[in-house]
Amino acid sequence: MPNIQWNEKFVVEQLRDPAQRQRAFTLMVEHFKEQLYWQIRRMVLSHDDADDVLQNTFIKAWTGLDGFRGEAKLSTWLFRIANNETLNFLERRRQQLSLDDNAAVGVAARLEGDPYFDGDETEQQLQEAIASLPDKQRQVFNLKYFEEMKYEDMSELLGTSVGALKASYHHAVKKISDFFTARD
Amino acid sequence: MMKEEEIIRQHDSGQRPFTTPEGYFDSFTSRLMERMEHEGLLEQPAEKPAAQPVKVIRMNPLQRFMRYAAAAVVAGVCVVAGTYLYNHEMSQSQSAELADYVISDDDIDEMLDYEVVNNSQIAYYLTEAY
Repeated sequence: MPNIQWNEKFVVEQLRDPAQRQRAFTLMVEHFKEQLYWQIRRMVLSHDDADDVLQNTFIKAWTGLDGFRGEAKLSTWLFRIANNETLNFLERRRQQLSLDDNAAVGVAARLEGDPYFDGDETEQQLQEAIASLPDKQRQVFNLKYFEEMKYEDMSELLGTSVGALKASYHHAVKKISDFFTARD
Repeated sequence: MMKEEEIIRQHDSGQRPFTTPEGYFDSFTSRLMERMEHEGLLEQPAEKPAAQPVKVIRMNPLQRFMRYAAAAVVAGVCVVAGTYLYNHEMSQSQSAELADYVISDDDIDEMLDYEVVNNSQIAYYLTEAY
């Protein structure tokens, strides 16, 4: 698809028009697919799982278009759907596998055998440490550490106060650094 | 930067370790739309048929008169039935019983007989009254 300059206002208007909705939807998918994919992938780790969650995110967005009133940005709305789909997926997987507190121990081993993971042993260990965090704390860590998102933007995205997000991030950083300090 | 964050950076290559299959993003949108079409999510609601113009049928004067006459008969039945019930003397107990009183076919016939007045009777009453 040719690189069409993104015009959110235009796309939002087109999404409201039943005759133009499908075309506008494909423009929206093209614009946000990679951003959302990496946000999901960092949480679920597996490419196949990330693909499933990403597709479900856009399908949820399509079926919920009538509920989008345009008060928030499209990116915020989509990221919220992606976040919820990711957390629901992780919860379902946890219930299926009956994972306990030691579940993260297997992450490094899983990543070592993953054809779509290029990191070395240190990277595997970092992902294992991050996976040991509670899901919402992982979200905050990933958004702040890897995406370098501002706390104010994160607050709008997650619906959590800036103060709570800062506390969550500092707590996550302390846990991960303790993980490496204990191993080194 | 926090001291703890520095420790993490020492174990982070700075490169994204995750990869995707070749051409994954290029084909994503088309695969998604195919799936949505297959699941029936892209079906458009059936268009409503265009509203048909309403045909106006004008009644002739006789039809209009018969319509008004029928309405007058109905109104007359209501008035007569009400008068009949009012003129019947009822005690308190009979009033209470009225709630359970079922109008029989004989009652209905009596009411209708009371109401039906033919032309000759109208003429008689009018002449006798004066």
